[in-house]
Amino acid sequence: MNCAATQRRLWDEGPLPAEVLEHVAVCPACAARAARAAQVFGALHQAGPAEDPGNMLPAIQARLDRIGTPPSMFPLRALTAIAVTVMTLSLAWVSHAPKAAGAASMAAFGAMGGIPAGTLVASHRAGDLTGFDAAGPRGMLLAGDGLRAMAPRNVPAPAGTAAVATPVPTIPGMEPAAAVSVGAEGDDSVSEWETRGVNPMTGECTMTRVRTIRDAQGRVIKVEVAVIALP
Amino acid sequence: MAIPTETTAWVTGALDHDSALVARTCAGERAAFEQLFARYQNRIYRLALGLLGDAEEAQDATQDAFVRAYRQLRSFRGDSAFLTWLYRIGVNQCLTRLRKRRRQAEAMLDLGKDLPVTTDGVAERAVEVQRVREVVNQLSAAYRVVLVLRFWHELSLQEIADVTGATAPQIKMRLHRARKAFARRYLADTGSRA
Repeated sequence: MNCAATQRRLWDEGPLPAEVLEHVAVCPACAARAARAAQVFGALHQAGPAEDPGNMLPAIQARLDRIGTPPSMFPLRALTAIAVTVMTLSLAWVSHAPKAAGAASMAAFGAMGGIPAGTLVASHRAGDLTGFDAAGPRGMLLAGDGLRAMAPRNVPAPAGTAAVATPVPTIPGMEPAAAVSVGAEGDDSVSEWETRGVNPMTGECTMTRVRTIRDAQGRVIKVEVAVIALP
Repeated sequence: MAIPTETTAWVTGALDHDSALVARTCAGERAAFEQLFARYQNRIYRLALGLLGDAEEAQDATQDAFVRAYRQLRSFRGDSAFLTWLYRIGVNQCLTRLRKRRRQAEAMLDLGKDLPVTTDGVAERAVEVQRVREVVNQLSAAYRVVLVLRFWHELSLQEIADVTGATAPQIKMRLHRARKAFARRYLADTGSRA
């Protein structure tokens, strides 16, 4: 065992292992360090408070008097159970509601005027980029399962975010206005669209680039979304 | 078959006794909870004093911890020892107070809070103890919790994990870092005072 390894072990919990002690026995520098470490942790060990708080019983009795007997936990547990059930059902609905519900919801969303152009809304969960939503000049483009857009949580996507979501439901009216074909002439299997905006929460200027890939029947099979920081 | 040692029997007896006192308290016998309070108030007070570094605040935190334990007594299912459960409540009370204190300190720019002075007549010893506590109080709350529970309350890694809700390997790593952080500050402090 060398000096570096010995030094690392000096900070470990518990008694020093035999190989460390063997090295310490032959190395004056490590012996000095070991002695220092022992002194430091000895001082720490002995500095624990040993004071007594005095008689706190009257004070605690007075406070317990105001409470009475320990309260039943039933209402709290029942409320917690109800809250958990509601949340679970909500999440299940958001995740698995039929496409029709999503379309109807998006229509209602459009009637409200939609999200302002340039706003970025990412409703994905941490570590799960499925369901990324980006608002474009004419409303909102959906990626991922899209249904999460019904309840956008206004969490802006940070620069560097990249999402690949597949497959996605085709929702009428969701084609971006500024889509450009990047394939051969007449081939609209791949379209690319981008928007720039200022992240309202961070002030960061970003560009959202969305690439939509369709199959021969025109169904969206893949959407790639990237949020890129602009200088 | 292993014969229980005197210590094991005593500990087991204490645990059984705690459970019985909890049950009696839930049945409406206040004196049973007062027995629990009398048994553990010093431990929780010393825990709070170690984490907060202020005697008055430690007293308040101790009372708050016991009142909270009393309110939540029916939720204690005996999955862990009563003392472990009580430690958990005490640590949470102290962490809440530390967070509040940090917010107030930031608001008032009052970074020079007085630390408790322990003088037992032996000046050098008291100064040394005071210095160690000052260094502990400069550490982050997470490091402070593991050091206090390990060095001053001599809890095992698993017990600290039960109190803090972390795993034993996480606590081992946190303790390793906390020991290094403490030693670094302590030695720097020693150098600056020398």
